[in-house]
Amino acid sequence: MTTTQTAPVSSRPRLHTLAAFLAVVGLVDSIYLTVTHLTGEDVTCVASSGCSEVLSSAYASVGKIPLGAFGILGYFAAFSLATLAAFGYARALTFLRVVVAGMLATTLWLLYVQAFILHAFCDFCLLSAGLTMSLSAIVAIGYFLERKHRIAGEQAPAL
Amino acid sequence: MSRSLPLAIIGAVLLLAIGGGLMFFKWKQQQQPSQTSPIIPTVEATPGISETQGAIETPGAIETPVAVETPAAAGTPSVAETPATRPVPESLHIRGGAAARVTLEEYGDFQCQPCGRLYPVLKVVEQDYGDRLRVVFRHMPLHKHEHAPLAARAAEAAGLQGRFWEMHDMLFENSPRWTKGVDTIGPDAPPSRRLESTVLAMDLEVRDVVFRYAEILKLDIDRFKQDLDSDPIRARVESDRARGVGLGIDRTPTIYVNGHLIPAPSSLTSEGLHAAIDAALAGKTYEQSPTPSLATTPRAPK
Repeated sequence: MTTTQTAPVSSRPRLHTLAAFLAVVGLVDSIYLTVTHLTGEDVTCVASSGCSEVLSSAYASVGKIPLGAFGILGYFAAFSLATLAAFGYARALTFLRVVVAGMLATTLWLLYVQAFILHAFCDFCLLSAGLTMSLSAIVAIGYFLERKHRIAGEQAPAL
Repeated sequence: MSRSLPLAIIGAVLLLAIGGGLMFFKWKQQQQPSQTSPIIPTVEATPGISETQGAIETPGAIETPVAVETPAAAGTPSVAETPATRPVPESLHIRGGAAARVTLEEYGDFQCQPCGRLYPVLKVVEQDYGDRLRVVFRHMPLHKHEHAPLAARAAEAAGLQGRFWEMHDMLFENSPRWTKGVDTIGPDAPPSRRLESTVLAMDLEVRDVVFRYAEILKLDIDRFKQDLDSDPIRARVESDRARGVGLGIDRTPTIYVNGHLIPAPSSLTSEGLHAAIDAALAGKTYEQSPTPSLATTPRAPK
C-alpha cells in the first residue's frame, strides 16, 4: 500500500482533540448567535452590557448574512480539520493553520470594532474571540513543537 | 484504527449542528407571541385626526390585555373598551392613512436595538405604501432595558402635546447615543461625562436627553416634565405593555399586519413586510416563505 500525503501519520492527537473540542464550543456559540439574529431576539449579556449594541450594529452582518453564520462555517471547518489532524492527516493540519489564521484575523478586527468603534462588548463575541485565540495558541504550539523536533531530526512524540 | 472514523465523527457533528440549529430556531419561533392580535377597527378620516399622523383619543377608557375581537366597524374611532377603566385618556398612535385597509401594528421598545434597526426599514415601507398603510405603535418596554420605560413615557408626554411621532423618531434615530451615554448631555457637559461611552447612561442623564429632545421639538418643557412622571402616562405605557403581555409577546419588535403575527425574520426585513402588506392588500393572509420544517406552530392561547 502506498502512503499518500493525506494518509494518517503520527501527530499530536491530544492537542488537536482539544482544538476540535474548542471548535465545537465555538460552533454552538455561533449557532446561538445566528438563530437569535434570525429570530430578531434581543440577546442579553451576562457579564457585559453591550450585546444589543454589538449584535444589531452594521458590523454584525455582511449584507444580509449574520456574522454568526460565517462563524458556523469557520468553526465547523476548524473542527473538521482538527479532527482529521488528530487522526494524523498531515494535509489537514496545513489547512487548519490557514483557517485558524483567518479566524484570528477576523477576531482581531471584530475586537477592534467593539473596543474603538462601537464602544461596547458582547459576551458571546468575547467567548468566540477567546476560543479563536485558544485555537490559535494550540495551532501555534503544535507548529513550533513540530518544527523543534524536525530541526532536532527526530519524530515528534505524541502528546 | 478505521480511516473512516474521523469522517464519521465530522458527519455526526455536522448532523448535530444542523439538527440542533434547526430545532433551536424552531423552538425560538414557537416562543413567538400569539398569532393574532385584536383587530384595530378601520377609521374613517375624522376631523381632528390627521391623515398622515394622528392619535385617536378614546377618553375614559383604557385598553386591557384581554384579547377582545373587535369588529372592524368603519367609522368607529374607539378601540376595545371595557367598563372597568381608570380615568386615563387612551390614545392609539397612528401614522399613515387613517382609513387604510392594512394596519401594521408594532410592539416596540425604544432601547431595543432590533427595533432601532427596524425603524429605518419601516419608514421606507411607510413611504412605499403611503395612505394604503396605517402604522400603529404600541409600547412594549422590556424589563431588561432600564431606560425603555422612561423613553416610552417621554414619547407619550410628547404625544400629549401632539408630538408623539416626532419624539418616537427622535428616540429611535438617536438611540445609540442616549442608551449608552454617548454625547447625551450636550456640548456643555464636562468631557469626563461625555466620554462615558462604554457604560449605560444613568437615568438622570437620559432625563436630560429627553428634556433636550423636548426642547428641540419645541414642546412646553414644564408641562412635558410634569407629564413625564405622571400616573396617567405611566398607566398608558403600562396598558400597552399589558396588552402585549396578554398576547404572549416576549420580544421586540413584534409586528402584526391586520392582526396577524409576522414572525421574525420576515418582520425585520423590507421584503418580508412588503410581502405581508401586499398579501393583506390582496385580502390574503400572509404565509411565511421559509421551508416547511421551520413553519411556526401556534402557541396555545394563554
